[in-house]
Amino acid sequence: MKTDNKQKLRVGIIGSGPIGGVQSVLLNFHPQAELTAVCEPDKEQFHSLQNIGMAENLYPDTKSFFADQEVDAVWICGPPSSHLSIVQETIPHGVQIFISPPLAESFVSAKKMLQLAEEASLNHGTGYHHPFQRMFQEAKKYLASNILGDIKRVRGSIHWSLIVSGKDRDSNIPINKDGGLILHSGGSLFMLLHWLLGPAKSLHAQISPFDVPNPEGSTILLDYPGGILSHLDISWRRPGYPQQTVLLTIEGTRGIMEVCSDHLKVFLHQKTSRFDSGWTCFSPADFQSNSPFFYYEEGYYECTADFIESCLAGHKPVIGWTEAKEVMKMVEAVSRSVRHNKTINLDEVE
Amino acid sequence: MEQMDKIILGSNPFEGVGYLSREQTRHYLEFFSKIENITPILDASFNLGIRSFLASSNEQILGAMKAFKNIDEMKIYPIIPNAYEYARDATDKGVLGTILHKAKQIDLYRKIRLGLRALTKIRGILTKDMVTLLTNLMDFEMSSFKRYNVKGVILHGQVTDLALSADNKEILTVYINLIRDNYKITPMLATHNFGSLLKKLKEWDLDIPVMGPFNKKGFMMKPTQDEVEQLVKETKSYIIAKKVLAGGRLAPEEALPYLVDKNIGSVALGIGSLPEAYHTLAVAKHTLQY
Repeated sequence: MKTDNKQKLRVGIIGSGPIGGVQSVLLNFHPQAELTAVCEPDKEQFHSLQNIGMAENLYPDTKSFFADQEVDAVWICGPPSSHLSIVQETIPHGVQIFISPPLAESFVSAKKMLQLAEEASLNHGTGYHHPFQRMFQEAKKYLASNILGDIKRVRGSIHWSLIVSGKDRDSNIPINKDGGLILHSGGSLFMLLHWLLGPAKSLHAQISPFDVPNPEGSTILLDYPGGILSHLDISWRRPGYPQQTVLLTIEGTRGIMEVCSDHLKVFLHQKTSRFDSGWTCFSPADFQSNSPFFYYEEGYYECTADFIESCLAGHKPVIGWTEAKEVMKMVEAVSRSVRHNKTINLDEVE
Repeated sequence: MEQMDKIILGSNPFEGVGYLSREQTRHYLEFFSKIENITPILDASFNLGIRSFLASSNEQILGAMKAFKNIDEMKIYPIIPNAYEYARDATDKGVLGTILHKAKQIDLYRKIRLGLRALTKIRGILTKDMVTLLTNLMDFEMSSFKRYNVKGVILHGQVTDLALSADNKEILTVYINLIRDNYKITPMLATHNFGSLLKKLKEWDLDIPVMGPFNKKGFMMKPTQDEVEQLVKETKSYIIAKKVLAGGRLAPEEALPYLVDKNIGSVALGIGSLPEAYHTLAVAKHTLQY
């Protein structure tokens, strides 16, 4: 890799939208990253950035960007429909690539991107941040220690109050080609479940309302190996969720665990060496964070830092494109399930 | 700087911000969506001798301030911009999105959006246009507080930390000068990266009050509790401690004695119910001898 034995990872951001803005802060905070350039392919935005004084190290396309800049990694923060073409333009330059999720706008593009990245032997990461939140990390540890016994049922929800009234509809629904409820919110929940439970076997999905291209709510039933049943509720309609909020309830033979970014609650039928019987509750304040910085939401800095450090150390990040492709496979399965109104076996989606 | 009160009423719960559980956050969002549920807490705090309030330009908070009969006797410290309210309504994330949304109302949408994006280490110079944009944004944010007894302004943590990450002294200097020159009041900074900011302010030789997380559990004290404690001990900046109850995980009796021998000027306390107001504020007054 180009970054071997270097102190700092030189990074360029492609796409200076809101996510690019957050990522620039995270990169600037990290002591081993150096944000050196921005590529903004949107012409209007590029000229506006120039006009307010940001002329240096700003490029209108990847061609001029790579001709002028020597970077070790790029952060792709544009719309999902642009990811594949940017990856195709980037890979010949041998840099490592971090992509703001979702990985792509479709499973086909995601597969192609992973194939290209693997062929080029480059390090790849994505910005799914929930696995980096302390409450979910604790939950994973408890599940690994078999505290709940055999897992039987998982209920999961992800809510985000984007559509709380009719008047907000037009302005708040992202355009279809760059995803919507399932690709963005569904994808975040799928990734968390994949990280906690591994790959699902099959799924059956319904969306609502049925007569618009962008659904505002979805109910999904999932089957996991070992007879685990999962029920997911994904909605942009419920008020009271200023940020994407995940809640999981995991039921096992020995008890129940409820986890979200704000709390972790364990109910056990019988006492164990670690927990009393009944409820044990934790909040984030009960765990010391090892992370030196905070911006926007817990998990964002840690996720970005993990990729930076993986590039410098030459190992894979916690969440790479292989995992992100699995998420895209589930998104594709949801689409097929809704279209054909049938259960989709995930092995069939290839 | 005019002397600040030891105890300041915070507004996080009124904006639906909680750290204890999802249920608590939802309860705050629902309960404090009604002005009539905020004013009794302002009343109770006033009756307990609290005369300072950290206020966001949130519709419900502004409504409650209007309805609160003793508001003229309160010192108001607006937190600008109001990130939480707009994050709730807009599709974009965090403070960038909130500012975008708000800026649309004053026809500065594009300019401010692009201006904030430009705050990276690789920016060019801070142009005259940018200063004009910031002036207009401050004016817009402050317009909601015109009729109140505003003693200082606190820059939201997400904006402070944006400038901090970009190693951008200039943007904070512009903010400080704007507030001092145009409003004749005290500029202050909020942060989620307390230790890094205190170090940087020392390096930049900026003396400005700072509000950051400070509690016995070390909750959200970045980079570490020990480091923040040491930096707070050494700093010349006036310190306002927030999240002193570790997001509700500590009882006031457990949490507040930790602050007594620290270099803490003021303590911001968010209150989520009337019983909590009487309990927390009474313990705070006794412990902090206010």
